[in-house]
Amino acid sequence: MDKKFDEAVCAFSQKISRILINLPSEIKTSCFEVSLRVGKPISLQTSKGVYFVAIDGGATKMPTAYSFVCNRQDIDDTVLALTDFSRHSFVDKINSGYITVRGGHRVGVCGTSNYHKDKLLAVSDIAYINMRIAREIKGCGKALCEELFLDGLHSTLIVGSPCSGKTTLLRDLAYWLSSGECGMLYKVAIVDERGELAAVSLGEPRNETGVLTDVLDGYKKSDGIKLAIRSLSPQVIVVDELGGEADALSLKESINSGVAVIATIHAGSVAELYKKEFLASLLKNDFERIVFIKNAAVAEVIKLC
Amino acid sequence: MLRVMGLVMLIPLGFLVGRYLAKNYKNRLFELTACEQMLAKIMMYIDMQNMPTGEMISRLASSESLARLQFLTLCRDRFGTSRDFPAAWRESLEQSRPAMALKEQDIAIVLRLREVLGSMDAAGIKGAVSLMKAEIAHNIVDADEQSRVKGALFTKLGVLVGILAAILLI
Repeated sequence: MDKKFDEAVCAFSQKISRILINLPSEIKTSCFEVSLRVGKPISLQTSKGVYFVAIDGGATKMPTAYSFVCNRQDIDDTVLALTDFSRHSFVDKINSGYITVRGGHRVGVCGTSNYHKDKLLAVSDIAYINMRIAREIKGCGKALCEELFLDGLHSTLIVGSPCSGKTTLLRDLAYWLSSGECGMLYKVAIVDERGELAAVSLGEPRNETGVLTDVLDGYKKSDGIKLAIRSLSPQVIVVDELGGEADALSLKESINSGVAVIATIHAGSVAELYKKEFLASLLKNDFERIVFIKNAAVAEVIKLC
Repeated sequence: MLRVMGLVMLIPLGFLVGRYLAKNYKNRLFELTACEQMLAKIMMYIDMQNMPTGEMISRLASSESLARLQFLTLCRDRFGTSRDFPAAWRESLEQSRPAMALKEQDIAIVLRLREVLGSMDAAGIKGAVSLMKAEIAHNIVDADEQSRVKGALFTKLGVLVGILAAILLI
């Protein structure tokens, strides 16, 4: 039995979650993504490769006649369930391409877009759903935390390709920094725009966050960083997935205010990282450490100053 | 003497039976008015707060002014466990139907809410709820008319039947 997997797939429609919950436990434990596509079999990304879900609750390496094929109704029912039968409350999130469900699992959605004067008004006929199962691996960041911060705080950028384990590592680092368990007790502010780091539900973080941690749940990174600096007096600000100029400017403001930053970003290599123009100034002047992640493990730590 | 008293008592008894039959019309009017109020509240919750369906149903169920609509409490409890709003709404309405004075056409309007809440964006919900509200308002006019005309008729008929029964038994 894999609690995180079961918790995640319970957010799907009853019909689909019932099938997924009955999967063999070794598949559930190794699964990190579940994809639903209209007219296509349900696929699972696992550490052992791709699997297709069968009608009887089994899984095969290739699609077969017994694979469970999602129809339009299955997808519509799943969207209703993912939005807790409140699609009107999720319009902005659907437009931005993802919904975060209970437990901090992020579900990417896409369908047909409707634009008016370059503004995305709505997404209709959602046909593709991709859930990433947020797994909390306690202790995965302890050694890195000691390596990076025993001599004091350093603004750090965690770099890796999608699904490489950046968020899991960042979550654990935030915990070790403010738990006092490895000799460090800092005031940490987590700006959790997508709800994946702390998995706040009904105002309470469901993931372990440390005793001196404040969570700004759902705030845009730029707004959350400003608010944290002004009102929460953190020593470290933790943010996930930097995405553009506005995020970079806010980080700069934070570092220039004496607040260290730990952030993650998508990039497969050093070359790719340096191609991101909005990061150039931060890499040159502000970040002190860069951590490269590959296959859920730290591949390299670069000290910039 | 006892016989005369018994015969005289037939008149208030007829009145009470008439009142009881007339009450059903009044109850329908009250319930329809509560339904209209419920729809107005839904519009407000959507308009002002974009409130999720679960929280909305929970607030409606705990609203004193909507206490007549027992299906709201049932739906809140069902939705809390099944997480399937359309089924919870339909089953709750079906379960509370025998105890309600609402007619078939009133129930049909309220039942439509299961296809509206949660499956559309805010503008879509507001449009559909406005239409339902207009239909309920139309039924309220009809219920008010029936309550006044038939309500009075049943009360008077009850008294008359009581008098007639007393005369026949003398």
